[in-house]
Amino acid sequence: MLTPTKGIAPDRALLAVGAQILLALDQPLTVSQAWARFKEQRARLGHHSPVPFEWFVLGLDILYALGTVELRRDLLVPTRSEDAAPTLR
Amino acid sequence: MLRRLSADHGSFRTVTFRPGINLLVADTTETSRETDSRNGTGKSSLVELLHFLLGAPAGKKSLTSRRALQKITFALTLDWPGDGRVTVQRQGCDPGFVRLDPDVRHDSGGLFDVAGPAVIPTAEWNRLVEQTLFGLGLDHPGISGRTMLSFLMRRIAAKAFNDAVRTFPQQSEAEATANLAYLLGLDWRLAAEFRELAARESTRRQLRKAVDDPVWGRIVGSVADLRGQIALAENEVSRLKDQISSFRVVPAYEELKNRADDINRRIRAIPNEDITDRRNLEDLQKSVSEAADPDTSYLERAYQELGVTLGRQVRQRFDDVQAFHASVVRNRRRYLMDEMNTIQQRLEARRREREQLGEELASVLKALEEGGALEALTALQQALAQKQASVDALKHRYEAAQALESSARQITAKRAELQEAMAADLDERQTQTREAILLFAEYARRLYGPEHEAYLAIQSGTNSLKITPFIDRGDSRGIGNMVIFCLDLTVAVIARRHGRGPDFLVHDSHLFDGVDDRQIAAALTLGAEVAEEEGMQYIVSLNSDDLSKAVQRGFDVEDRIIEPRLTDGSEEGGLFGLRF
Repeated sequence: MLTPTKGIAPDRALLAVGAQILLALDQPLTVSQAWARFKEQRARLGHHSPVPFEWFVLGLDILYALGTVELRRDLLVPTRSEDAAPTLR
Repeated sequence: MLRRLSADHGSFRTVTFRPGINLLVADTTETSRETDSRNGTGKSSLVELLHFLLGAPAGKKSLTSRRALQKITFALTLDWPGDGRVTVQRQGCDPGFVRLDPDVRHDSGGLFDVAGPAVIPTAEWNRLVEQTLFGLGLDHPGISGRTMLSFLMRRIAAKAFNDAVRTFPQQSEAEATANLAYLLGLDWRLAAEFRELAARESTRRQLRKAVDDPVWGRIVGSVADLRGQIALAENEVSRLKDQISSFRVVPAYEELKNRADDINRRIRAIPNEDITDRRNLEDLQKSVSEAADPDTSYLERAYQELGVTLGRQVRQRFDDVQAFHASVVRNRRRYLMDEMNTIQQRLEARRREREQLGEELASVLKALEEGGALEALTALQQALAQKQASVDALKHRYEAAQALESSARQITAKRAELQEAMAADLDERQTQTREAILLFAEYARRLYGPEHEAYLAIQSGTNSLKITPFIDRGDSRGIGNMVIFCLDLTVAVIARRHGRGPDFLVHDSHLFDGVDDRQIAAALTLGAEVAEEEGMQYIVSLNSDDLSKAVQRGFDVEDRIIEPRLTDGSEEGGLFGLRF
């Protein structure tokens, strides 16, 4: 799921999706804008396998879990690694 | 009186004239063959030269324009009332001017010590001759000194001996009689009016012909055709006028038209935008329904996998992530709803826009429909002006055509009127007419005796004043010439008596061609007598054989032959002293 498997194409692996979302998030965006840009981004990259919204949200969740994206006042904000929360022990 | 005819060419034989009768005789010499006759001795040239010096037009074919003669300056000395004598000089190569010595033009300045010579245009010389020799004023339409001189010095070159009352065969009777009328003291203005009438008549006739001609006819046209054309054209004009009066100028017509185009384009673009939006809307609705049922099992699996794969890197606890997920999905729904609303509003706005545009387009089109641009109005007005002009032109042609059709009647009426006036005038001028009639009859009697009927009829004709000299002599050859002789003598004497003509009469030898010996003698005797009595000059060129016949019949030649005596025997024998 995170990484490509037999059933998941490399461009649909969640990590790849997350990377694509980050590419689209060059500035704080609403979720729907991010979704729209993400789809444009994929089209630009030539990935034609369909990614439903659900999958996109999972990608966002992964990014959040990794501390690279936050939701501030309904806007998705990319966070730099310094802002990231301290590592859990 | 003519005094002297000379030239600046050595061989030219100067002719000196005297009062009374002057005979310029041309001899037959022993050596001359029959074929020589005596043509070329210069008898007729004498008349030509006199005319030339008295201002006749000198065309290319005239005697003085010949190469041998055109450089010669000819001179004529004649008595000039009030100035003694004047000498006029003229050259064939420069016929537009004459040299007068002295200058007899009477300037209002008055007192000159001695007037020197002057070079004046020939036209002015003609005017001087008319004023001084014929007593004509400045304005005399229809008569001219030149024509009257042609009666007093008939030119064989112009075939002036063909008809007693014409100076050349093609001369209109009206013109000829107008000039004779002046010399005889009749109302020449009335006579000249016939001339104008004749001119009008011939114009009318030509126009008439033109109208009947298939090509020229189009220029004037017949009254009936034109009437139809005018009706059509006027109809067209009123139609245009109506159009113009009901024309509403739409301000900024062009902008309106552009606006209509814009609206049209916009209306056509709206559906395309709608299609995009609808598709988006569908996508969104799908997304909403997808997002409405979030699949959290995935999240857990993903998180676990994250923990396995990137355990160290996972910063957020699962609960947090779940909360984030939920908020994203929840917000997402709101966003999607918002976006759907926006799109729906957009669609709605477009629908409204489309309606409004439709209305606007309708109104713009209506405005365009009802009115027109200023340019269109201007174009209409131009068309109207053109049409109007063509109507005017047609009307002019119509008037012309009408005039043409009515002018025949007018001319006829005018002619009758003139004839009437002329007749009345002749009645009132019986003194003048009687004088001429009696003189003519007297001269004819002197030539042919009392037993022959002879009269000069002066009456008002339909086309002109009619002056008909007549001598009844049946079959006599040369009778026509003697009629001319009598008429010329009558005219010259009467004109001279009343100061309407000069005191000379010149006859070419042709006048006596084929005339009986007795009449030649009688005519010469009569001419000499009349010249004596009236104080005039009668100049005749004569062949020596005609002269000898006259002498045998009792004509006294003593002191009547003038120098030079011309002969055809040698080159020097002629008037010019050279052959050309």
